[in-house]
Amino acid sequence: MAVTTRLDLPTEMPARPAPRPRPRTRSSGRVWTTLRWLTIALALVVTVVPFYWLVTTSFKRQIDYLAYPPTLIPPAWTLDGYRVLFEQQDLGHFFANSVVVTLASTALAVFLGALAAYSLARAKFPFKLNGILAFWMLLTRMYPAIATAIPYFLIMRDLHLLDTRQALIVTYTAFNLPFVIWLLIGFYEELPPELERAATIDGCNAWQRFWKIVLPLSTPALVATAILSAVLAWNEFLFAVMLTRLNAKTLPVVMSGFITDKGTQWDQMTALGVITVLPVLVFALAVQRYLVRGLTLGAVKE
Amino acid sequence: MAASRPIPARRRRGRWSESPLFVLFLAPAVIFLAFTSVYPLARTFWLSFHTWFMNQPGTTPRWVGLGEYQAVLADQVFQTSAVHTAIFGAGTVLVELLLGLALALAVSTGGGGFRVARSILLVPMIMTPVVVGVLWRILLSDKGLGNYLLSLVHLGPVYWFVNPNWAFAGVMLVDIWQWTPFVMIVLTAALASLPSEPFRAALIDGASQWQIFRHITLPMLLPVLIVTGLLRFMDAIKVFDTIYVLTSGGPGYATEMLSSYIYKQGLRYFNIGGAAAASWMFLLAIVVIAIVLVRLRARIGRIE
Repeated sequence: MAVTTRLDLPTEMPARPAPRPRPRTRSSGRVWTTLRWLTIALALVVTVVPFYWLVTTSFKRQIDYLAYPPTLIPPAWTLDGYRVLFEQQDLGHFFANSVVVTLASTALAVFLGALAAYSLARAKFPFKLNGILAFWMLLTRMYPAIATAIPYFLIMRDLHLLDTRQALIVTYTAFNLPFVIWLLIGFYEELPPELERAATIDGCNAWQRFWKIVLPLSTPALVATAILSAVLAWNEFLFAVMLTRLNAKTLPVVMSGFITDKGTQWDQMTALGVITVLPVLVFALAVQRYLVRGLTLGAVKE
Repeated sequence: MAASRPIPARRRRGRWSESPLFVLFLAPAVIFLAFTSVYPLARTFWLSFHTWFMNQPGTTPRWVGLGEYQAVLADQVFQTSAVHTAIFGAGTVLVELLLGLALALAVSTGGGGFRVARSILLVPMIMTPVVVGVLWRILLSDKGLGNYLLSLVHLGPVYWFVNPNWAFAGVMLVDIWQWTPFVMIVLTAALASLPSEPFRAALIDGASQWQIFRHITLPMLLPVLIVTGLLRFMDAIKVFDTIYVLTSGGPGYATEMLSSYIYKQGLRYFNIGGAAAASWMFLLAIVVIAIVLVRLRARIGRIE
């Protein structure tokens, strides 16, 4: 966050007009540029081809997706995979499950998390509580989810919440909350306190400062954490498969159902894959700047 | 920097602390997490000292002390999955670090073209793991695209999910495909935050790109590499979704990992005590890694 000037990196040097160009640097620069492009081209192929396969298979006829050698470009396109998928499953309902669970848990986690992170960044609690709580958040983000799987199942069963959206909302909020707090503490500690101090002098209490000054100022960080939470919630599978049976199934659970039931209905499987992946992909790429920011917030101290 | 902030962070904290309000801010999150993370973990801990098969009606947990821990440790499938998990974590993370570093160096600077490439390379990481699993199941099937491409260079066919070794390589391949972008992103950010002076100096001294990389970039990047590697390792050993979809631990136990082992013990065989004991051992292992990570990070922060 302290980076204010545009940094010149070595990789960029050869491309720029240097004051005194050295032949050696320039020729090694050309090799370097070629290497860079080769690396990128290879990586792009490895990334794009599976994705291309996912999309095209969903539009293939059975004779094409089962053919060998595989049909690289479908000779005929069909929507059968999608049609059968929608006929056999209440897909709209499952899609709605995914959306509701994702939005609700993200909103809850970001709101509660922002409040807690602000409090931890600004107030000093006795007994070294700030440090202890921060470490607790870190551990909560890191422990294996599977370690709480059985108690969650038992608790939700006892509360008669199995197979409800509420169960998933609570679960995902619980996962995302520590993560949100952990990311936002760092952000709030860096936030210059002058504005808040001025507001205090004008008679604002902590809540007014938080609501009117800190929240608007931290919109980028909030968006970044919200995006990450939403992606995690949308993609989550372990608890979704464990806590739902029929009614509250999310898209990944529906997807996994194909594995046991109908081994090679690849058109339907990939059609569902496209439906599952597309919203999050469009959304994530649209707000990519924030996504990258959120991802690196935890790992790199800027 | 110091001039614009006359008050050190430590004194800034609590300067206008209206404790009751700040406690109110913190309380909802802490209470929520107490119920949703502390309580379940405590319950797992309690269950791990009991034997209980949930599918037998009318039975209740019966105290057995460390009995379940002994039983799990003696279980060959547990041992196998622990070893698998460690190999899987170390192997995937090493490859991801290498590839991620190469990619980060390749895309870290430059104009629009590089930025578009960077966006596209992000895609696997955002894709739903279950979908990734299904997709690779199709790609690596006996008559899939993978074997076709191998046949073009007169290799294979590889029966990915029949041969235990290939199955293990397959699940590693999928993890590497999905998570190398994460390493790339983090390292790209780290590269952008390196100071530029050493590079300028090296260029003026006529150092080659390789020399610059070997003696400047790499040493300066090392702390971030270590932290990123540990972060990835902790996530990699929790792998569940893709295993569930790709192999569900098979063939035999060839790709059984700790998460899938615990899942099966608990929710397929209803061996609650055993699953809880295994969970806690897994948890302790991760806590140890987390502590190492926090220590390392603090030390790296001090060096900076």
